[in-house]
Parts: sequence; C-alpha cells; structure tokens
Amino acid sequence: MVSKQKPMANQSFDSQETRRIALELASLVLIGFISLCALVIAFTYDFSSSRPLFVILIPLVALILVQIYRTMKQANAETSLDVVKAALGGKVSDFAVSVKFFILLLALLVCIYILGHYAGLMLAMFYLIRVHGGESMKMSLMVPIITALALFALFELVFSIELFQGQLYRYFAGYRIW
Amino acid sequence: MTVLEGLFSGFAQAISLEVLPFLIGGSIFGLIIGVIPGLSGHFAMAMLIPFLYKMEPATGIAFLLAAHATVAQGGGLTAILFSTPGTGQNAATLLDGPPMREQGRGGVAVGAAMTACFLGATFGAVALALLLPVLREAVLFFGPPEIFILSFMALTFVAVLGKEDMMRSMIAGLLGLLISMIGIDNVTNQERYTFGLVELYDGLPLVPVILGLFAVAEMFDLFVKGGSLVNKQHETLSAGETQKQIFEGIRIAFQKWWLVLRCSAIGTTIGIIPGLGSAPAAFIAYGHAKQTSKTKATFGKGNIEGVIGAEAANDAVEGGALASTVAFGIPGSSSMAILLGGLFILGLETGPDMVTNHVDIVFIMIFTIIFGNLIGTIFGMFLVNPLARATSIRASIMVPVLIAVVVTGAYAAQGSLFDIIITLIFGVFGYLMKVLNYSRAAMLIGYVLGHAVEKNLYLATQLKGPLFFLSPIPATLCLITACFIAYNIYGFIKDRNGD
Repeated sequence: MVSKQKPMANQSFDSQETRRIALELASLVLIGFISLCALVIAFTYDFSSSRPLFVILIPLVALILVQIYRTMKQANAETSLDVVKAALGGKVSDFAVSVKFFILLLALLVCIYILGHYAGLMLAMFYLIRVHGGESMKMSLMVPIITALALFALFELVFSIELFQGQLYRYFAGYRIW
Repeated sequence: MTVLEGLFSGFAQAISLEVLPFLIGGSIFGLIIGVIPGLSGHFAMAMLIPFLYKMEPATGIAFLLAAHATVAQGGGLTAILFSTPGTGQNAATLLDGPPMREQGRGGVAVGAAMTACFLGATFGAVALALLLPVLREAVLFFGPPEIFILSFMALTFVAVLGKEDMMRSMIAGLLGLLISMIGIDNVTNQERYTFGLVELYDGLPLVPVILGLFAVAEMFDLFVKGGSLVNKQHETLSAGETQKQIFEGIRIAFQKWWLVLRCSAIGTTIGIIPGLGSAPAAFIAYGHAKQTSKTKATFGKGNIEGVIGAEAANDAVEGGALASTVAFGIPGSSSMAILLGGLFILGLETGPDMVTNHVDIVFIMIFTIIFGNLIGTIFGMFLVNPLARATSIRASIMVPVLIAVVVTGAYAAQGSLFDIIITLIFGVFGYLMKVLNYSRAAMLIGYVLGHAVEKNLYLATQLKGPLFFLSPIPATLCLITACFIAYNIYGFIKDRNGD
C-alpha cells in the first residue's frame, strides 16, 4: 500500500510553488467564506430572486471545498500557515511589492478625490516614475504632463466628458457641504 | 423597391461624396476608441448620437455604424500588443494574441486579426443581405427557452477553455455568474448584494470589471516583474520586419479561410440571437477553433488559429445583430439599441417597412460595415508600428501611463469614482487569478452571460413550465451541448490514460 505523502511539507516557504499553494489556500478560504456569507444572505431574499443564487452558490461552495481539499493534499497546512504569516510580515518579496502597488493605487484614488483627476494622476505618476521607477527628473515631469494633456484633449475637448475636479476645487468653488 | 435596386442605390450612396467622408471619419474614430481600454462600441456610438440631428439618414447611418464597426479592430490591436482588451469583445483574443507577441510574432497576430476582422465583418454583412428574408421567420422561433439553452451552451465552453483544470475554470465561471447577480432583480425588484449602495442597483458595470480583470491585473504583474510588455529575450522588431510579419499574418488568415468562414458563421448566428453579443461569440468561436484544430495543445500559448477564430467571430456578429435589429426592431446588444435610437432620430422605422420600402438603407448599413472595416484594417496596420514599439517601453513608464488611461476610462464610462474602486478591486482579483492560474476568461463569460441566463430561465419556466427544455429546439441544443460535454470528458479521460 502506498503511504500518504506530504510532498511540500519539507520545502521552505521560499519555494515559489509553496508560496503559490499557500496563496491559493488563503484565497480559497476567503472566497469560500464570502460565498458562504452570500449563501446565508440569499435565504433572506424572495424565493424567485434567491433561486438562481442557490443554483450558483451551492455548487460553488462545494467546488471551493473540493479545491481546498485538493490544494491541501499538495502541502501541509502548517507550512502554508507559515508562508501566510511570512507574507503578512512582509518577508515574501512578490507579495510585498503587490501590496505596495495596491496601496499606491488606493493613494491615487485618494489623490483624485481630493485634488481632482488631472492633478491626482500627475502626482501619482510622478511618484511611480521618479521614486519607484528611478527615472530621471526630466522624464518624471514630462510623462505625467504629456499624459494629462493628452487625456484632457481627448476627454474634455473631443468627447466633452468632464473628469472629476476634486473636493478641493469644489470647496473653493463654493460647494461646502461640511 | 426591389432588392437589386436597393443594392445599387445603397452602394451609390455609400461611396458618394456626401457619405464617404463621414464613413471614413467614423471608422477612424471607432478605431481610436477601440484602442483605448474601457471605451467600447456603445461608447463610440453614444458619442456620435448628438450629431445625427443635423445629418441626412444615409450620412448619419454611415457615421454611426462605421464607428461601431471598427471598434473591435482597435480593441484587437490593444489586446495583442498590450494584453489589455480595448473592448470587452476582444477578451477572447487575449488568450492567444499576447503569447504570440511574447514570442516576437506580434505583427503576425495583428495582421491575421485585422484580416480576420475584415473577412468576418464582410461575411456577416453578406449573410445579412442574403438571409434577411429568411431570418425574419427563423428568429421568431427563438424564445426564452432557446436563448437560455444557447447561453448554457456558451457556458459549457467555459469548461473547455479551462480544460487544463476544469475545477478552477468552473469555480471562476460560477464566480462570474455570481457577480452578475449583484443589483436589483428585474423580475421581483429585490435588491441582491447591493448593501444599500445606489451604485450597485444596476449591477456591477461591465467596463470597470473588464478593466480590472485584464488591464489592472496586467499592471500588477508588470509592476511586480518589472521590464517591458515584451519578454526581454525577444528583440523589438524593426518597422520592416513588422510589416513583413503583418503580411505574413494576412497570408495565414487567407490560408485559413475555412476556419474564418466557420467562425464567421458562428459569429453571425450568435449575432442574430438578441442578448448574446460579441464576447460570447468570440469565446464560442475560440472554443470551436480549439476543438477542431490539429494543434490544440498550443492554444493559449500563441496559436494563430485562436486569434483568427475569435476576431472573425466578433466582427461577424454585427451582420447578425443588425438583422434582428433592422428586421424586427429587436436590438441584440446595447450598441444595437443605440443604433435603433439613432435610426429613430434620423426618421427611419425598423421592421417590415425597412426591409421592403427602404432596402437601400439596409444596403448602406451593409456597405458601411464592409468599407468601414476595410478602412479600419488599412489604418490599423499603419498604427501597428508605433504601438508595437510602445511595448518595449520600460514598466516604470508604461505602468503609470496605462494606469492613468485605465483609471480615466473607468471614470469616463459613467462619470463615477465608484467605477474606479470597482476597477481596483477587480484588478486585485484578476491578478490573484492570473498568479493562481484561474481562468479570467471563464469568469468574464460567466459574468457576461449571467443576466441572459437568469432572465431567460425565468421566462422559460413561466412560459413553458419546468420541462421547457423538452421543446424541439431546446432539446436539440441540449443534445448538442450534452454531446459536446461528453466528447470533452472522453478526451480528458483519453489524455489521462495516455499519460
């Protein structure tokens, strides 16, 4: 009889495959939890509205459980947990860079909300090109300005779409809602 | 007016000096819109609607339809060169276009895609001309049960697209269906997963979801990896080499004429059925191309047949979609609904009157699709070199610029900051799916078909009861679907036993 093996158990979390498995497990657990919540919420709807949700969610939850089982077979939970802990502690470089990029995108959204579309975009682009990309000052200034001008010409002049002007502009324009 | 009279009159009007400049202008406008991620065919048409009030019917139709006709061509270019679908209908091109670019064969992919687009559109237009009287009868046989089963058929291709790991593809497809359920249920007015947010009442908007899943996810990937869009080991092609590759692509597209014909026929047929549209047609055609190919294993890794099949189908859809719009006043997509509105503005009425008394107008539409795509193809080929060179730009410059365009496109579609948030959320989700090898295409097709599946299932059960699928056409479609699934399972088992 072939003994059950845990092939990934001895690998360190530096291994790309171990990291991928840990990430998949963590994602599946999160999506599975959200799907379960969605299933519970579906019970609160009218039956004719919740019927398609049951048709989708019941097999979805089942498939996620099966996939978690399949993934667990590839690595032991302990190693995966160590990888997740290491990732959250910033010790997994790819994960740290992805999180950094996501934070930058959130910062871009906040910049747009406060400063307006063009100023927000230019500021975020300057940061990405100059600070993160390490490009020259000339390039870091030129690219955001040209991009903003091109977007202005295309959207505001050609399509007559007014992009978001920002809360700061609105405040000084007299829209003081607070 | 006889059909022959209509044909000559339509042709004469389409190439007249009053109409032709607008046809060319519309084509270029559509091409540019298509290239910009997030701006799609219905956006291009909506932008032109206000201009129609001052135009003659022939001019207005040519302007409006030419813009719509070339959007997919522009979108195809962006999909191949930037791994970002310019429009939703080019999502299937992402499966094989970018891998070809990474192999240094981007020019071949573009040449083949543009040619397939033109040939597909021409096929669709000719089919519209030939089948218009017949289609009037045929479309009436397709009610909710038939559309539901056809949608289900498209969903089964999800499993085929993710054949390497059906489990992951099924999870992705079901997640796509689930997110399509967000919003107010049209039947019961029940809010589903809106959490009181007004922005979610109409469901998740398509443009931010696509931009997030495909564009932002690519930006994440590029940001993490660094470098350029083209793998470092492949040198940037010279202008001469690119042109050479384009002509090679054109040659291959003509060489694969039988595949183009079959995929165009799929596109035209799907186009006739209201509610399905280009994206599912392209995926179904892609699945068909994969299924019938002698080199199935290379699909998803840069197989030119995947590009040709998807592009031929998504442009052939227009002929079919136009048929049901013109003959029955049933718009098959949001773009066709805008066209219908445009026709009303121009004082034209769809239905039997259009087919009998204004055949020339129908032929103007047909020639607009053909000439518009030809113009789009020629201009698109000129644009390839600067676009191809752009892929060698460093990630440190490319990512911020594309992010700026994507964020602006996401906002501009509905003028909502909420759409940018949706784009970012789906960007993270898309990146995770890419890293973990989950099919983003499966999720997108589930999302695209979700509404059609739910609505038609409800109508089918109301009209014909729970056994609606036993009616002749649904039963035939079910049989085809079952055979298709069985064939794939057989292939899967055979492959596994072979290993």
